[in-house]
Amino acid sequence: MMTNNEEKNIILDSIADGVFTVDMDFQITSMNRAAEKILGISEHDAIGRLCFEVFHGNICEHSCALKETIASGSNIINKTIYIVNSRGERVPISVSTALLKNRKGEVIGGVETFRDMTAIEVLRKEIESKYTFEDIVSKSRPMRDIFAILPDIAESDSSVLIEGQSGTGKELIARAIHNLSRRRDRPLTVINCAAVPDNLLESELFGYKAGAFTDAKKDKPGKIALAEGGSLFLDEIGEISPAMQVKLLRFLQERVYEPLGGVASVRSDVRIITATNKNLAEEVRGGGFREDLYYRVNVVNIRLPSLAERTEDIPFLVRHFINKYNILKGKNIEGASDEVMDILMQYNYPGNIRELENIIEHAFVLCREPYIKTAHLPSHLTAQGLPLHENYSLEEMERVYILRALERNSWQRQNTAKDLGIDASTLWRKMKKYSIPLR
Amino acid sequence: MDVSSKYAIYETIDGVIQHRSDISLAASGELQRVEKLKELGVTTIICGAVSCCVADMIVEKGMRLLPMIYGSIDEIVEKYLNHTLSSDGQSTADSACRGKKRRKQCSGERRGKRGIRQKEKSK
Repeated sequence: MMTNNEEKNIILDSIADGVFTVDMDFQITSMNRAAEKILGISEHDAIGRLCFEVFHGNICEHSCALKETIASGSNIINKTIYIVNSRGERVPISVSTALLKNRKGEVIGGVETFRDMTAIEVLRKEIESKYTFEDIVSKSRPMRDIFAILPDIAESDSSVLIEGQSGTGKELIARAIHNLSRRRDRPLTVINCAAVPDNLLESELFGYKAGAFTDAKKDKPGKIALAEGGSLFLDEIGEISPAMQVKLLRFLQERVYEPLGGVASVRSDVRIITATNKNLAEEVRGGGFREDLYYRVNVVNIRLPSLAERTEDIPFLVRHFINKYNILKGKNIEGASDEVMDILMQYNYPGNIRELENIIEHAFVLCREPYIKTAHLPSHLTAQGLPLHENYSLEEMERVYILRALERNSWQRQNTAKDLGIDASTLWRKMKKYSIPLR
Repeated sequence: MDVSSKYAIYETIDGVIQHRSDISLAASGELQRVEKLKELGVTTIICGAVSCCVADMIVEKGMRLLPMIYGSIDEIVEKYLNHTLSSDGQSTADSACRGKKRRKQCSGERRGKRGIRQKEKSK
């Protein structure tokens, strides 16, 4: 006849998840077979040791899940971390913790269960690599369609017009086209037409000869000459003046140009890639952009969707930027908390991917923990971007609604009250009720 | 060592502790932390678990590594200085970190930290 304890041990040893228990001093009191296997240590050697001496998780030092559960009484479910086992392997795992209570209901310690996520991690990486094209990360349908035709576009050598809102990755697409083309070993030169005054744009593009103007002491090659054999990316093409449009049209038609102050024409072999955040067809209709130039640059057209049109990419992009800034800033941030992901998924990103990247960079400045939390996000997101969950109570909804209104009105209570259609004193009372501090 | 950012540094002369300092390298990655310890003149690192990748970095920097050591820091250092520190773990970790496995691990993504308990700096 088996005792209850023996039965429990058999059950625990038969499951694939690792399980161990600790007492109130965080000393290990039991461990199942799967835990022995994942951690690379026998139960005999583990019992009596402090859990962090056996577990070696990357959260042990600063945000121990068991400590958090014992202190707060609330369970932690499926937190993704990694451990270093006694074989010197880094193992990605998912941990959950709960209180351990005796028959009287008194807390006598904690229980931690964990699952080896190595196989899932390998699959995740495979999927990620599948959704990464050059430096562009996306799994959305419109972007996948662009990835599919990009090699053909690159090979064609035709002029390309990339249309999309600011921050949608137009330059990345231009670079991808160049890197996939036969011109990849020659330079890609970039000029932002909106950033250069019109009178300088001509000399920037075509270069100048010594003596062309007062300060021209010696010849200076332009961007076209620097891109010889390669590609020239003209960003914000919609911003150039009518006079400059004529000069650019001539170059595109004849592939020759004269540097400022020069007498001889120079022939050039450069592929032209342009981009704009305007609707260039409308600009043509409104007379702001030459029709003949439009057709010259718009041989192949790529329209990039805004981030709001590809929200399924947000988790990928968040991970991509976290990896990027871990390398750039020498940090080891593991990811973003569920609350942060909720906020990021619901925000509308007027600045598109660049704005998302800026948000992650902002969080990196403030975050000294393994996971980015809401406190690390820019303030306009933590109030304005607070998600309204379906399972919120009416009071919780009201709190979030007031926070959004306060943020919208720069925390001016009079204006916020007016915005909400309530009296300022009512707003003040509600702020106190919901513990919303003054700013 | 991978998952720890706090270190106790002991400075010893002829087996006698001259000075102890505690440092935190929270914001750095593993390579930066190992390099920083080397810069500080650390010659021996005594720690708990260490991944093959980080073990390689330490050995390549010319530091001695004693992994898989557990217990009170002061007691461990005392045992180390008395030459009575059991380093059973060292052989385990070394054997696990040889060959393809080590290279494969080191080529993986760079993540988290943890582990060192203390190290000794000799003059």
